Amino acid sequence: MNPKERIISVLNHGKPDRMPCFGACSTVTFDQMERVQAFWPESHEKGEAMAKQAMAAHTVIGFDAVRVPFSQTFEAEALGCRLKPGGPKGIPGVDEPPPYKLEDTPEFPDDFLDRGKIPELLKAVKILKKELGDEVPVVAGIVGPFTIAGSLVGLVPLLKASYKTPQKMPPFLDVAEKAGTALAKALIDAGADIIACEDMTASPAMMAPKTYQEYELGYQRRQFDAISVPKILHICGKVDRIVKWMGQTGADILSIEPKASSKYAREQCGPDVILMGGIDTATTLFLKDAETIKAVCEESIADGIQILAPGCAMSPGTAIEKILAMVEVAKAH
Amino acid sequence: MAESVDEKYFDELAQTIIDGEEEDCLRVINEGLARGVDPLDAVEKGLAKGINKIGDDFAEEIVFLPELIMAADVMKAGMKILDEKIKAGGKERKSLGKIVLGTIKGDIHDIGKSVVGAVLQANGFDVIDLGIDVDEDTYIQAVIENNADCLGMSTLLTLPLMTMGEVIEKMNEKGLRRTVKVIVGGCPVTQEFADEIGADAVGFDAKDAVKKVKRLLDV
Repeated sequence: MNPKERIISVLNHGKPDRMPCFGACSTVTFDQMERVQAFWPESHEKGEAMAKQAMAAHTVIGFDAVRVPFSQTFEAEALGCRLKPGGPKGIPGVDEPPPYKLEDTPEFPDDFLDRGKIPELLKAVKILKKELGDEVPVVAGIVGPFTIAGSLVGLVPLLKASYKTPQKMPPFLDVAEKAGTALAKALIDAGADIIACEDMTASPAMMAPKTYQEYELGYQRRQFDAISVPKILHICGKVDRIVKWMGQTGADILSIEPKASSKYAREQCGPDVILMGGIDTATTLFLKDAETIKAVCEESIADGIQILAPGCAMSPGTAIEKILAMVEVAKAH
Repeated sequence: MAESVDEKYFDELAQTIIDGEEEDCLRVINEGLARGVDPLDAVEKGLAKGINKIGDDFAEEIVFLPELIMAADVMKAGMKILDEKIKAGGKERKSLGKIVLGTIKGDIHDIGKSVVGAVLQANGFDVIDLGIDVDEDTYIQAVIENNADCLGMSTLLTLPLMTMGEVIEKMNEKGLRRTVKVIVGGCPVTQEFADEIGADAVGFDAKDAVKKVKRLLDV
């Protein structure tokens, strides 16, 4: 099986020749940058460099898919947020002050897809598709409604609103959902095979589970309904308290961290949802040795993980041997 | 008049923190001050009680970050008025120790660290919050200038983890570790990691940080 067949087989609940292994979030590391000679910040900003860097996931690491982009700033920038550059060692982030206050009415610009660095991201997907064809899937990332809304009004004001004045959130969630969905459709048109939606702020580490159920779930459903290719939903942290609803969003794959229980996720979501993850990117993949990493991966697979993956974005300082140890485990299953 | 102030008043004040209601908190404080409540008591028996209850509930996942942020904000607003009154009365809050706090270089996550700072403050510590993206020298300079008892470093990211070790290393070189304790915290920080870089403790949440700092400073 080629990587694409392998992943499709898992999505169809078939029997792949072995377990697939790739990232739902960024898997870029400094080692890979050196190997393919594509570096930050250029690969956050230019389509050619972005594609070159993303290729390393397959050519250097042996992952079954490649993934762009490597930060969560594309929709936010196009909606008017200021960015804080990440330089050669970090990823860009959304900077203060946010473009809106909670009392404002946010707007979804007609030329959204032409704004910021979105054209470069689309260019990267086109390049990757051309190079990888039907062999290796291109995973393209969008950002979830709550996380984008947090960029539009500021995270703290949004969290406070979620507690005291939740009725102020929907206009922002609405624009945020539209932005992610519009980007997803354009990414698919450019050649993306899978859409991965990262929604960090939707984690119970940030907002109350009932806010997720009452507000975020509906927007995520609407978004995933509109996306025609397989969808991954990634939410960081211990998501046990919301995983039941994550399973109701329409996502084909849930990407979770080992802080969350995959056994519990299976119980709550039923047999249809595919579980992806397996290793904590900080406490295990970054800090531990290859043997420990392998043991942890084996444990995660025994607990029901079907696609072995870093649980979250990888630390760029992660040594290549450690990532290869993870891939080795997938190859043996 | 102060004698008539019973536990009910402090409970009411604590409840405004728990509910995250700033207007109510300031009203209750002002009413209390007008009735002769000792501002020191209002901090220790009212504000601290409220923030500690929220800290406990957060640790047990009964409440979540939005509630904790609101409570910390209300507490800070209340503390500002009460501190002024305390000073105006020629007194000062008994300090359990001085803590320099900051999110480490390469990381701009502010929320968790600020909440920890607020809860430490409510529990009687002097907190010097250096903000985010703090480099090694700034930490060390602040520790020396403030004659701090403890340094707290936080990060949500993996890459800056190693910088925490470098700060401790520099503190060792300057002989600061004989008198200054170090507590670290943030999502990727484990006990094993803290041991490895030579930190004295990990604060897993705000409540835990207070407990550990108290233990480290023996207060």
